[in-house]
Amino acid sequence: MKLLQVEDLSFRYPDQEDWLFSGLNFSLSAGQIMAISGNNGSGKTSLLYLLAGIIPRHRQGEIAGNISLAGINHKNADLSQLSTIISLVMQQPEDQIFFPTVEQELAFAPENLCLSVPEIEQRIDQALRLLNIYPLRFADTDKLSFGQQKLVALAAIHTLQPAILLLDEISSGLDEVKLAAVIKLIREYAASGKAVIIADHHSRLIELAEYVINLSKT
Amino acid sequence: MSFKINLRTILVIVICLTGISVIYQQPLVQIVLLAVTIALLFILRPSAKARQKLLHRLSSIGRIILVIFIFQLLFRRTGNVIFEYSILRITDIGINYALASSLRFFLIILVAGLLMDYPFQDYLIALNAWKFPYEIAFIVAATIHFLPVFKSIFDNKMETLALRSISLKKLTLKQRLKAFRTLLIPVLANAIHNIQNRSISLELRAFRLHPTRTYLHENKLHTIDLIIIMVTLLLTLFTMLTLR
Repeated sequence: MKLLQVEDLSFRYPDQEDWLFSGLNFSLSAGQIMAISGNNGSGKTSLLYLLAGIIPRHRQGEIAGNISLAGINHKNADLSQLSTIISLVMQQPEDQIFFPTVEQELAFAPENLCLSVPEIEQRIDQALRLLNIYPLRFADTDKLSFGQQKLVALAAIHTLQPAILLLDEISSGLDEVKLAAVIKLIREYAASGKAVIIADHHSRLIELAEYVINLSKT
Repeated sequence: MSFKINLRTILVIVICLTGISVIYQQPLVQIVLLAVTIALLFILRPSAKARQKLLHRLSSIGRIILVIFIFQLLFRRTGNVIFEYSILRITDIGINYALASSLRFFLIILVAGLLMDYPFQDYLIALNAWKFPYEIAFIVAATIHFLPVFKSIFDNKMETLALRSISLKKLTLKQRLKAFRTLLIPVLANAIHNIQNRSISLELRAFRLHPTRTYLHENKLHTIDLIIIMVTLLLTLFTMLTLR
């Protein structure tokens, strides 16, 4: 089952003459993992922002081509609606952490989905256990290390359970143990019938993908 | 005795204390309200972190309170003259206003100490329990949350300056003001960028997807909270009727 279809996608920021990337074509099915590689500034984050809908809703730019998502109109839906299908873990974890405790941070998405308390509890437990951060459940978010913040930001999107999970430079600042936990989560997420797109430099993450789009070459 | 009472109870107390303080100008009223607030701070025992914050705030705001006092004292020229020299005139009304306004300012800072131990999420739940629209509750809570974010960005910039061997403390007032003006633009730009990213992050987690939402933790009022709220409201009513 196809979750995402990208056709002839091109993008450039305002006042830029050259396209950041152009003519991208790919699709993603349930259970697949895809990677986006490329040099710094090649447009990996911009592509993820386009897929997540942040561009053009919060960032400006010229877009050509088409993005289709299963079950929702990518062009017209608002970001909150899109997030239930496709959502992004951004590069900077401090930009994504809002609440004073890890538990509250993780509860936010399922609370917005109007889930019942047992369901919220179950999603929080699952995300914390998958990432081996259960002891952090009641920790203050302002006392977390950078690596812990990254895992909490990932867990906070995991509790939303979007059909497509987008990860932007998730490996940066993670030690080997934390990276192994992230890899486990990505594998299990895809195995559960959802899909993952990773934009990263780390070879261990790129190796997880069934196919890789290299933006440096486009 | 130390117990954590519900944030809604504290909010009722804070509204009553500040309400009376704003309505009545008499210094004696302000002194009584201050005494009540200090007693409450002793009873509720804020955490060490909150106490430290409160003391820091009091020490840094002391000068502002002094300036308010002097301004009110010098610029209220009506009333019975108590002291006069050249253009300087101090009147009984001036002293009254000066005392009342500086005490009120002092009271507001102290009252904030009652609220410092409650996290952002508690404000959301409390306002939601009072049937505030979720967006408004969130904006109020986010504003309270934003202030430390803004301060931390400012502190980071100050640390960057310190690492370059620039100490603002060694500068003259004029140079310091100039430095603050220069710092303000990048700090504000940084803060706006930070807030934009945070709002995106909230939307990426289905914020406002539905008109209502569920809460992992409910925040129920206990009997002790209900008793305190009732007593506070009755005392406020009694005070207002007495001072009318």
